[in-house]
Amino acid sequence: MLNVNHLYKSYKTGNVTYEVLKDVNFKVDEGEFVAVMGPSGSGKTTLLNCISCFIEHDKGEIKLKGRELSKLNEKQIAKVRNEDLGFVFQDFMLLDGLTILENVCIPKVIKEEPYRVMEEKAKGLLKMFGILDIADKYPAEISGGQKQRTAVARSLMNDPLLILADEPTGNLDSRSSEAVIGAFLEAQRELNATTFMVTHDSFSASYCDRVIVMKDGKVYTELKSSGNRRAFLDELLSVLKNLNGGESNDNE
Amino acid sequence: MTMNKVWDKLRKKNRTNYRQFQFCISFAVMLISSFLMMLMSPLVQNTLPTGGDSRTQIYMIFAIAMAGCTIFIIYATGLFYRFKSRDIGVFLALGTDKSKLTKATLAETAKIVAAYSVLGIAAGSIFSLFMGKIFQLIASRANDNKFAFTAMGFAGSFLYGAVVFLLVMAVMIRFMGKSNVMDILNQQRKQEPLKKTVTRGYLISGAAMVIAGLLIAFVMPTVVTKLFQHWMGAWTNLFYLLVLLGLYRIMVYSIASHRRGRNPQKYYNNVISYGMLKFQGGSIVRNMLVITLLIMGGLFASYYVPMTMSGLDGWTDIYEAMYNYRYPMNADEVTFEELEQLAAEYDVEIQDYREAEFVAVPASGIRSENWDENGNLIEEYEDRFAVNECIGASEYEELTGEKADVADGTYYMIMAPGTQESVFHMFGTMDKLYLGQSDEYLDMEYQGNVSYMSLAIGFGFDGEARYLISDRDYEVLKEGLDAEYIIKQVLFDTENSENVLDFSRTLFEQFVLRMSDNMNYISYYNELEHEAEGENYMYNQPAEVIADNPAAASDWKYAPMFVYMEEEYSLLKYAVYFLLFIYVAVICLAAVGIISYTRSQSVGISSRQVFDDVRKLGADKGYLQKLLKVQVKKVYVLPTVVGCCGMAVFELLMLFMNDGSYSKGEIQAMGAMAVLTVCVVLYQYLIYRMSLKKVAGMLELN
Repeated sequence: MLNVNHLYKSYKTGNVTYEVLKDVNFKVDEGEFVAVMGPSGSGKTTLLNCISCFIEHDKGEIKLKGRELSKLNEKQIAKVRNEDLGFVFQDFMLLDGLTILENVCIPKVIKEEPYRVMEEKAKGLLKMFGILDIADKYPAEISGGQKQRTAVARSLMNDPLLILADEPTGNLDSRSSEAVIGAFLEAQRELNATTFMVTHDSFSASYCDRVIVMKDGKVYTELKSSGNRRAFLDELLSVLKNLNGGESNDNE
Repeated sequence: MTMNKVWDKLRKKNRTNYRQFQFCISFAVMLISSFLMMLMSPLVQNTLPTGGDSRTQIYMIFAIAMAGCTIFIIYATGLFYRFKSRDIGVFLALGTDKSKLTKATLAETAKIVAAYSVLGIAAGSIFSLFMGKIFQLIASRANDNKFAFTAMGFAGSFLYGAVVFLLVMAVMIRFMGKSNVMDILNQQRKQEPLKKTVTRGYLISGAAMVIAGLLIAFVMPTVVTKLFQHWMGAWTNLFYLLVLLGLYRIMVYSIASHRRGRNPQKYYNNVISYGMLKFQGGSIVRNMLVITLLIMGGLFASYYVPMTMSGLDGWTDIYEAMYNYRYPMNADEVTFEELEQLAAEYDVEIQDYREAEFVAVPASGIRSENWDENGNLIEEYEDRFAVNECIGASEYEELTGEKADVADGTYYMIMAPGTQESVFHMFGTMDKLYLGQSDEYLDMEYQGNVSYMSLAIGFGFDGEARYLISDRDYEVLKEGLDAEYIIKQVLFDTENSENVLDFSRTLFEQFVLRMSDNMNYISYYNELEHEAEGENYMYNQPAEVIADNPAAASDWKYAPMFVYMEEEYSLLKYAVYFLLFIYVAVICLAAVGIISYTRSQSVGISSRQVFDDVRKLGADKGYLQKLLKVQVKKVYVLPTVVGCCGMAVFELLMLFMNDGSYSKGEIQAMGAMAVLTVCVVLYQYLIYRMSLKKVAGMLELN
């Protein structure tokens, strides 16, 4: 589904060049739930921004279902973001002036699809994530967990090839985090959704099929879940502890 | 590194926000002070009649412009503090003493407001001086008043500057008074959501308020006064506030209420715009309301020109004689021989010369000028009400060529064509004509009106009334009258050759220079009131007519009417009025432009995050541009539509309420008003395009 090959990205400040991504390689298969972890400055968010086409990369290729993203023009990139990618952000990015149902409809609104299709689909997703009862409420009237589940529902509106989630549980308490991760798992189970999630939260990551650990702009290691979540969490914590020089991860 | 240096650095970093705030302050103060300087100058003060409609209208528009500028300043101040809130919040969070911070912010703001208010007053003064001198130049032939700065102009400007200063300080103190650091930190991101559930009832109640306000404040007083001679008092004007409130509700509805309704597809196509607009908050509606009012003010001022012109167009056509003048027989005025000689000098041929005599005698009448404390018109019959001029039937027939059949003891009023009764003026209220100064009088009975423009004076009522009576009654009244009460009326024509203007000017000059003392009064002068009130009589004023400048506006009881000359000078006499109203219209529309432009920018700034979010969700540039258009359009479309339509309805209503119909001139004026309205719409479109370009640039959507 997603292939990242020999990806390089650097930033220039004055005469100094900072290499943020150095020869990053990995792939994500269809229906897989993959997390990216790593300390601050390891290049997680830059990687996500490159895949999202929010920023351009210097070298290498990002292929989404065999399609090289860097070769697309601005209009094509917008189409990819709208139809092939789904986004979930740390700060939810819901439009305050719209109801929950309307917020979920936005990707199809941008696509200018017939209203019946979008309403039906949105209601189905809200039901799937247990938030249909708040469909007519506004973002200011619901909890953080509900907001993020709304965002997950929104990300699935156009049946994307890949959901990109940037710290989706970063602003949530543990109970809400669980509900949001539950939503991703539900999407995986029911819709065979593919999710690529950047997170600091080992607990959330432990629900994934695979975790890519990054350090200093490179893939440090990849961990695959055997199906036992608790064991996977322990394994994750141990790797992160080594990575941090003996200190455990902040967000354990 | 000291605190002051930190402030300096932050100020430099936020230079754009500071500049915007400084510009808003100086611009608003400049508009108001230039308005005040012009309004208080002798050029305008001495030209606009005290208590006249023009003066009232100018003051009304000034009040609107001032309200608009003040609301604009409050808005700009709020915007400025939203920008500053993050810095202030961080300082507070890091433990800076709040009172010290407040003092520093207060001092900084005070310096900015004071300096830029003074700059605004200076710019306003220069602008008004520039415009005043242009006015003076254009109107100098008809107006001897000069533009000059006055103490009142400066005092008003500084007073407004002080009000602005206090307002900004109050906003700042309120802002700094927030106890919670988080409130201050979040101020920048804070939106002012409008009510989420604005129902159709909200719109209907708004429309009902507008209609009720207009009915109570505008229609009802006119109707009641006409039907019941009862003045309802100034309190009805308060109901214009109801109109404002209604407009506010309509605008809130237009922003906040969008339903899925019968066209769900349309709703969803625009759902992002609707959501964004709703969270632009109350400030967008307040701005829209101010823009609407200023558009109405600007249009009202600009309509003055076609409205006045419609009254001037063809106004001389109804004169039967091209020249008419009158004077008491004791005056050493121009004789027929002298007139012929003068005409010969200018190669002008006198045609159809005729003259006749009127007698000026005390007459009874009804004084209806004031209202009692209950608002009812006071009507008092007076035996000796005014000195009126009367002509015998034979003389009238000779003068006009119209048959006059008048029985003894009866009379006709000589009126301008189409004269109608009003609350203050009724036909046939005179029933006694006195024999000179004696107590003897003739009982008179009203028979109707005759219409002859060249013989009518002013409105034809009260002191300006002229009566057609029988020859016998005329002889009775004339018996023993002094020459000063026998009035010679002269009518004649000439061809409209190239010399008639010079001829008319010379004749006018001669007529003025040779007037007798008892001719030198303003038209409102009433000899009987003067006798009764003695020294205290306030209308005992000379006419101040300028012999060698017939174009100069004057108010003279014996003003002659030389049609060709009046046609030439009529526009010039209104020049100052026209220029003043155009100036006011320009000021209002300039304010509209700046407020709309600034508001559009803040729409862009506050929507930046949403645009970023929607872009991330896959919207391409075209879609975002479309979205932006809707946002910016909202600042322009509704205020322009409501302002233009509202003013059109108000003007149509006003024209209709005057006499219950539309004259040909008024219909022509409507055409000109429509053209002006289209110009305002085009102006708004131009500013809209500029704003859109600017905001698109800010959001990188060009």
